[in-house]
Amino acid sequence: MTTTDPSVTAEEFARMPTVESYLRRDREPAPPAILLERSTEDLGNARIPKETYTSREIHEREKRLLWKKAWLMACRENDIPRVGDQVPFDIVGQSVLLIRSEKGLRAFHNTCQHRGNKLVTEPTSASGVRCSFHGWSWNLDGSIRSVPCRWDYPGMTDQEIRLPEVRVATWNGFVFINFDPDAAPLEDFLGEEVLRHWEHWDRTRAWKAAHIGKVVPCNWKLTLEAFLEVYHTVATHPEALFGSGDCNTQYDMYGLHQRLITAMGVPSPHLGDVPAQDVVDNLLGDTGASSMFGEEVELPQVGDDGNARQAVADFTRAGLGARTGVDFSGVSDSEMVDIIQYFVFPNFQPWGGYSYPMAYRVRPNGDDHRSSIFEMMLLVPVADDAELPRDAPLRMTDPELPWGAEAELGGFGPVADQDMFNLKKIQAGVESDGFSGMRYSNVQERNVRNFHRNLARYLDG
Amino acid sequence: MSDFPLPAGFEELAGYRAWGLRTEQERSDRRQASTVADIEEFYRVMTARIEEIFAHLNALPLAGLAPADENLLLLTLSLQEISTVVENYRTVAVPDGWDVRDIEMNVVGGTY
Repeated sequence: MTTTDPSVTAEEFARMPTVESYLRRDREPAPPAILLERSTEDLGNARIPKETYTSREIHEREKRLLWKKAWLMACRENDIPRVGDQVPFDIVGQSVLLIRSEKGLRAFHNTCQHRGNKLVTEPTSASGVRCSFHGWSWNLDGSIRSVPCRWDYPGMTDQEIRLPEVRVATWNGFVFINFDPDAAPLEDFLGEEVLRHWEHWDRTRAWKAAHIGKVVPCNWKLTLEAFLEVYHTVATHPEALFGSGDCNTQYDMYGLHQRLITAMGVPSPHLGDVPAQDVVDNLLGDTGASSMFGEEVELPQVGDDGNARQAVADFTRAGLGARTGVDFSGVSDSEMVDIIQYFVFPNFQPWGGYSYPMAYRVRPNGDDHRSSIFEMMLLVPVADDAELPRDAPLRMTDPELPWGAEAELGGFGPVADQDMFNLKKIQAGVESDGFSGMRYSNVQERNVRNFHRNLARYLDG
Repeated sequence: MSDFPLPAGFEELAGYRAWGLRTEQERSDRRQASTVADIEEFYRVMTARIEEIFAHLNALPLAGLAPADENLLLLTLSLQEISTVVENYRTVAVPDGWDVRDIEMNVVGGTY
């Protein structure tokens, strides 16, 4: 359609069923009120300059003003559950060592105070930290334990060779770090809405069953933005249209952070009527159910009421309940069916509810502004009375191999491959002389706009 | 002798002879001139027999197919033509896709 009348956008959008309208028609238990809590604004139609994704100077500003200032999700508490457990987290040329000490979680610069050797390069467990070069070693609280031939360092104090500390805090099972000693506390950074909304979904009682990463050959923001909007479904994931309300997705902003809710178990507004059973088969067939249960399962039949959402919710509730021992009877259909994806600025995407228990993290690949690391985590709920298995560590995999080759990701892998098909080409396209900047849409890509508004707040100091 | 012969065992598909089209242009035109009900019925009938069809055609060299075998191949190519829209959209054309009715399709090499 060609139009210059801005009201057409609003009219077209208003004709589509809203996420709220679907949720209000759902049966008991009612969806939590927080899912109906709207918080959005029109951020206009201005373009985002291409230099945002190509400029080394902007990357350097991000290093200084974003990555060294914002709270960053570094690992999970359950990555390092026992005293002595250690895991490194690397971000734009810096490396942080997360340690479970006798006195709780600590974070240190992951670098030897002797000659700067990087100390820990992969998850490990030990009573201290020892440099592989000359054997300087530290206790779990960062204090120096021993320096070989200490007599050769006249006047050097223990205090000056402590491991320099980095701020650390936890939220809902996730461990965050902050390089800025003056930053506001993590709770203030997350804000009232994120904290309150997530009271519904306890991820301290979740097991990270899979954590897969790959290098993606584009700026980290290009990777991130592919997951901040659902506009791309019609072209990138067309097989999902039968079962997902893509272009009527709900986008909400909460200060730095935001979320999107895509109603599932309903047909895309791009299509006409789709029989309810076809919606169910589409959502759970092929890859859907196997993503959740990792095996062939018999798909549910839609009841006499013709309600696909209920059929999918009952199926997921029963299947995930049987697999995990968790009782989902008090959980709403929406939380069992819909895409409820939160974005914690600047690079962390935990999915709410229990329908798609995942989290994404995106960051620059080392200090390179033209490649990034994308990570998918599966967070399986664990029953209150069951033992929490140790989280699976991050496993970086060959970027030449498809995500679909990672069996732990089930059906989510092939979907990620559809996104990667675009992300492998986009850096070159953005750098083309024939491209002058992003044209984000008004409604469906307004959360991308919100991300850039918040990024600018950091970069402009 | 039928004017649309098919291999033994596949005669029931003769009812869909209208899909026995020689060129991509004709198949695309017919898809877009059809109703969703029409292409879904054709899809159901063809996919129900697709393993047998593949087994039959895969045993034959592509060059010099007998008329009955070639007709079966043409129906299969039409299944390919409609399967994307049946499986993804339940429409006869791709939403927001190109209007391929205006695109002239030329066969470069090959026969079909």
